[in-house]
Amino acid sequence: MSVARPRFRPVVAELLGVALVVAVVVTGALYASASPDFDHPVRGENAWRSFLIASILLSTLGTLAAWVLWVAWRRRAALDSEPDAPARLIALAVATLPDARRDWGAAMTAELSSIADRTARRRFAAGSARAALFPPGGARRPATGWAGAALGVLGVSAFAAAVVYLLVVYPRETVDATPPFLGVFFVVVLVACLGLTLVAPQALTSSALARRVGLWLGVAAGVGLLISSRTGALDAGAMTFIVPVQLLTLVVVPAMVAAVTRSLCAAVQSILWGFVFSSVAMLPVYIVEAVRRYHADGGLYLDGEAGRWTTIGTNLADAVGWLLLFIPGLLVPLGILGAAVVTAATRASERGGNRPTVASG
Amino acid sequence: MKRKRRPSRQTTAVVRALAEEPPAWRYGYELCRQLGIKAGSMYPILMRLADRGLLETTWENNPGSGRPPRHLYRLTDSGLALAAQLTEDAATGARPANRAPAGRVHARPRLAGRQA
Repeated sequence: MSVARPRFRPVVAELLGVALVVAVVVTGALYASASPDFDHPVRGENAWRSFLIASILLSTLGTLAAWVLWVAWRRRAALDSEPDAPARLIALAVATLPDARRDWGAAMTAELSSIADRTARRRFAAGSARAALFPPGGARRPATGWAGAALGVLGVSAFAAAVVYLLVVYPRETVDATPPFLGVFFVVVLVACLGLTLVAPQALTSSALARRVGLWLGVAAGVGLLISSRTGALDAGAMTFIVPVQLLTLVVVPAMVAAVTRSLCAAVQSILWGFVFSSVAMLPVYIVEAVRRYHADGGLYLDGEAGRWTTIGTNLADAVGWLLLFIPGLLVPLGILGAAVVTAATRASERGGNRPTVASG
Repeated sequence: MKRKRRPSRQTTAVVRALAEEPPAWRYGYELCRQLGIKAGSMYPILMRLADRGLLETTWENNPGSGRPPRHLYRLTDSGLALAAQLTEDAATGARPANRAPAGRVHARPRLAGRQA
């Protein structure tokens, strides 16, 4: 007991810190996106109930997933052995370096050990952490390859064009149906997606398998949504396609990547790239097909609902809310937790069976 | 024909500092202090120079007690050729293409070089 006690308090403090940050972010995002409905005479009660349930569920899952990532990161950084904050900062940053740059991480760490002055240590650690998090790239090509960059640029451009179309042709319906938070949120997420496809840090592109799997899943998701929609397979709503595809992209495939590479880092990268590429591929298709469907039968593309509370502009809020926020908010934590379990299981079986390791990058 | 990019002002300063005493091995922090360049800029410069075969790296043989061995740097023959080229360019008035704002790089008296 006397050995466990000193370790217990920092662990609980870190867990509470992670829980607090995740709860604030998740609850804030859900509140901002759902609050316009709270005062609605018909939908108000349901909106409150949905907000509370979703906040508790997503905050809990998000906390567990963030905690797993934090524990994996601090273990990789060997944080417990570092003497002070500058050393811990460098250790955390260096832990994100790809294998080809690990020597440089060791160089920065060793250099810090020769600096005694506290201010100089802090400055050197801050600069070195920046260099470790964003090391120079080797090749003069996009981080996700030409195909990934092309999909990113085309997808984001097409979605931007579709949104502009909605804003020009149906300005009142689109603006009224889109909460300000979702408007800002989708711009931020899409700019981030575009930036990642073009200039992602090396820490996020070290697994070629994760990048390729994410890219081809994204292409398949976009093409699949279009074909399913045009062949009449989505008469009950696009949810019947989107939920299984995102489950596959964000949970099942990352677990398979974890099993193949025995690497949680590679699995998390496959979640990231699956989300990025499936989002930029499906969003423009969603809006185009939503407009087509609305003109055909007046129903929403998401679930076929048609009523006095829905307009053609509701499709934009649906697309952003469900494709970028609600479903990923549920499935990304599940994907991380699943990948962590699979990674631990495969590593355990590897230790037992002494199997050869497959490189993740 | 492949276009050759001129190195930035900071990279030029690092190459010149390393060329002052070619056989000497230098520490990263020592170069930071000598040139007034922050670690966040210095290490990417050193990484790029090493990637291009202009910089040779090694680890310290006899670190102080309880300290890990530090990384040491010096120019390769290609790096020395680049340094000579940069000196020639400076003499003929050619300026680096990717200039940092004036005053970002401070030339200071060089600290003693280290031998591995």
